[in-house]
Amino acid sequence: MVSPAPVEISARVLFLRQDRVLLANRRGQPWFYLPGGNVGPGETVEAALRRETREQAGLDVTDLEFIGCAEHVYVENDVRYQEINVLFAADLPWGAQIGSWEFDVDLTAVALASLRGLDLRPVSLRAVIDGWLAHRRPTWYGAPALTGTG
Amino acid sequence: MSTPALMRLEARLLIRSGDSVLLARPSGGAWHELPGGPVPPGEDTERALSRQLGALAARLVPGAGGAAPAPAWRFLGATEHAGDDLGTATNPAAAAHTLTVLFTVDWPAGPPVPSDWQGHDLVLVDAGLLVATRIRPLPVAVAVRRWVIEEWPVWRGMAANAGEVGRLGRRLSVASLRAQLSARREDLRSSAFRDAAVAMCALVTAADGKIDPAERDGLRAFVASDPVMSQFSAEELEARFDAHLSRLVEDPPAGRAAAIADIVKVRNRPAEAAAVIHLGEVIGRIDGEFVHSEQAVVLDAVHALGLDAAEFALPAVGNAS
Repeated sequence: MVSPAPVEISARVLFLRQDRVLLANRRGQPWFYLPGGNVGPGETVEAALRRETREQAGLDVTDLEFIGCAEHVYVENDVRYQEINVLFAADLPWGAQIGSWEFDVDLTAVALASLRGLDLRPVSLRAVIDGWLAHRRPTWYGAPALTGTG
Repeated sequence: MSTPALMRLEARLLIRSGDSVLLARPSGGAWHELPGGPVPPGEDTERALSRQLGALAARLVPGAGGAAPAPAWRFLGATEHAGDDLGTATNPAAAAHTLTVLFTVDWPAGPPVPSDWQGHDLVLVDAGLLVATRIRPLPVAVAVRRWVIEEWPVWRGMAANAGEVGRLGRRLSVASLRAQLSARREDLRSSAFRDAAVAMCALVTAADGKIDPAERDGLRAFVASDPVMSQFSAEELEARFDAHLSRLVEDPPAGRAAAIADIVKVRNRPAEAAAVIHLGEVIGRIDGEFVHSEQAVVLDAVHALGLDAAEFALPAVGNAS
């Protein structure tokens, strides 16, 4: 019997500098994710993003550009998790030192051209990121079980 | 003070029919809403919205098995609000902190538009009258009005500090501004738009009181490559641009008045007016920094067009960087 967990709202950022994008990777895991994290109680979406990027990378984000929302649903240990990722792009501040402030996480600037070949999670983000990089138009990507297109 | 709760999720649908939008209003109520509602745990966003559409779903939900295939939904954007029904709180710790995911769809041609939805009256409101229509929560109203003008998905978040509340967009990159303009280029072909756009370009170019030959050449190159501006005759654009620049150099107050007179040609055309402002921002930022004097002339144009500066994410003059 699967029981649903409360919906989580999460804010994530695609840090760009020229043709590179910043990805995080937990040491020992083969997959990557975007800096950011869950919106805490009583916290705005953008405040959560700024807090997480400060905590994870010591970076202050200024202008954020909306790139879309992605829904991610998965079941683990009989619990159904549902996460809405609100995605933004931001310029990586010039001269910023790229380095993780968390001991078991690495931050890497990856060429946009090689993004497609990497295991980026959650997978639902990829469609939104690709769409924005190609057309600069924000998009929505819903849980594939419903749309039947995923 | 109670402990703040986790953010809630809602999904709502803007239904368009011709030049009108379909809004739900509780019987006897003054405020309109978009059909939709909360997404409960255990249900995907679009599935929850489909269920909440009730009797409307047969016409509007792709794959719902209606008489004709329903059109696909388009993403309209997402908004964040908290507080009362209007969503006016500036503190996310207020009650009902909510993320609303918004979609839009066209009511299919043929079947009549129903008159009720889940105990609400459904009313058709002319898109041109949305500015004067009470829609709640307010951030959703702003997103809907922007959509009707620009058809470009927006984010309207609660800003982290109170001074920023009310900003609609964030400063878009030049690439994004140009993509947005390009997407609307079919609607940006009138001579009124051309005149207003050229006047805007000239105002920004001359904003610092001097005109560098390189700026003139830069503008020519921009006009030739821009998907919107290249729809017009290059000779005509250059002639108008040069005429504005000469006036702006010889007699700045008269030159500004003449430029504003051309800009207000699109005053009652929201899509073109918004595009003229975006174009001014593109010209201001394409060569690097959007300096204070350039922001000031774009802001003048915003006011002359009767638009709300807050909706264009122009920094308030005075603290511009």
